[in-house]
Amino acid sequence: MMGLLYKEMKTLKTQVILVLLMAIFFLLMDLFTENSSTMVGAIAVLSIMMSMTTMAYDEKVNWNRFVLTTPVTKSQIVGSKYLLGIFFTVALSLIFWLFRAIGKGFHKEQTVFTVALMGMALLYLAVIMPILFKFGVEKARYIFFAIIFLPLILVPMIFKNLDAGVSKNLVEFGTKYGFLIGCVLVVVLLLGSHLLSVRIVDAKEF
Amino acid sequence: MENLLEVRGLTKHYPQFDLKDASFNLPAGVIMGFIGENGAGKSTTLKLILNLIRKDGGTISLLGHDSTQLPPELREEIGVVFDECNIPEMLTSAEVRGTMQRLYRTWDNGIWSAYMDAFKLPDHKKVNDFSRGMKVKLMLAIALSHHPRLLLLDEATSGLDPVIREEILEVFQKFILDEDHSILISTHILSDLEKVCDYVLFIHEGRVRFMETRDELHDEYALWKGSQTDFALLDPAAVVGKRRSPYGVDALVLRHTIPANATLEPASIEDIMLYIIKDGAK
Repeated sequence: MMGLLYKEMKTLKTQVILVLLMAIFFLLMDLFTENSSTMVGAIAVLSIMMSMTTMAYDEKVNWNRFVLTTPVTKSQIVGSKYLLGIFFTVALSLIFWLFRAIGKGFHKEQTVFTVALMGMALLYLAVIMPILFKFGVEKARYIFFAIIFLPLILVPMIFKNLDAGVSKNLVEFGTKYGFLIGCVLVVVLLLGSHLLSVRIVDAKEF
Repeated sequence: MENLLEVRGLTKHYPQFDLKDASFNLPAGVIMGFIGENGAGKSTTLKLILNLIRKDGGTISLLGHDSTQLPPELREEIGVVFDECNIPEMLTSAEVRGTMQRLYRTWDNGIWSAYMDAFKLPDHKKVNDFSRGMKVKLMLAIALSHHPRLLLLDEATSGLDPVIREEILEVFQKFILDEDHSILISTHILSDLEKVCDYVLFIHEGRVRFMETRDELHDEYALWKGSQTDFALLDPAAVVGKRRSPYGVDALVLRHTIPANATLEPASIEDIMLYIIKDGAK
């Protein structure tokens, strides 16, 4: 597993700078426009992009065919991609938190908001990874963007059209139990997603 | 002699192709050339051996274990080179080493460095900037740097110039000096096999046609050349394959069934393969 992660990080060495620049762009947008919803998409897109990029490189040279002749297992291949996605989600969330804290001051709300963003990004990761393993990067690319952007469009629309009372109750419920539910949901979905991805890769021939 | 690989009744079904009932052994201490035309089933067989695809029937014993249940420590003892470089192109040789030494517990940086020097491969150049020959050498250096007992090579030398192929053949010969080591190499460059292989495994249309030592093949087969009239006098059972031309007939014949006074020429592995594919089956 360490060999796989080492290889992923070395493969991404030039991409990391690009992602950091993009992250800074989104962060500045967030600071100046006060539109934080784009940050959910930004963190999710950038972190998933890292896993996607390594998968695209792997597919190009049939890396998995080779690495499965080494002591590496299919489960470890899947695990390394999840760990990479989680690592970049957490890292980008921390950068986001730091930028916001510097720009807007250290408040508890900033931390809660950042954790919520990170949770959302991890949920995206849980949803997209099995699709990437099933269809490959080329085909999954379009599904990926649909999954990323549809909720960002649909959720505000749903809230806009909800009855004010229902909407208020939902927000209250979310504030009260959101963190706990979110944590459980993220862990359960990530574990389930990982198991599903392992099954998908197990069924594949190389 | 211990067999590093034993294949029995191996079958794999595809809509357009079937590998049927393939059986053969790879003894320790030999280089076995795996030959056959494109699509004959060589790569399918190698992928089945490596458990990269699922078999529909048969058994494969690899280093004494069921190939589908091979423990990681035995995977360390197998070096594999495919017909392509499977290393992500933005990695440098040094980063490849960094990756491999974390993947293989038996990785040996000393051996790696020796091969990198011998192959003249730069440490800090991206794989993307390597030539085809350098990429093959890189894959070979990886395959050899974790103390493997068995090398499985799928068209690894195709597309290389004769100088590089010669270098690589020398590496194979050194590897095989240890009698516990074996190489199974599939290739279209049959002249290379004439130089180094001990055994020849021939597969045609998904069926193993023969597995014999190179010497047995040269002893068994010969090329006969003569007129149509003389050809008609040959025992048909002695003729494995033939080519007619305006000048007469060239035939691959079973050497020991031809009259002793007949003029015969040695048949190369390529001759044997071509005549059998073109005009008959053993």
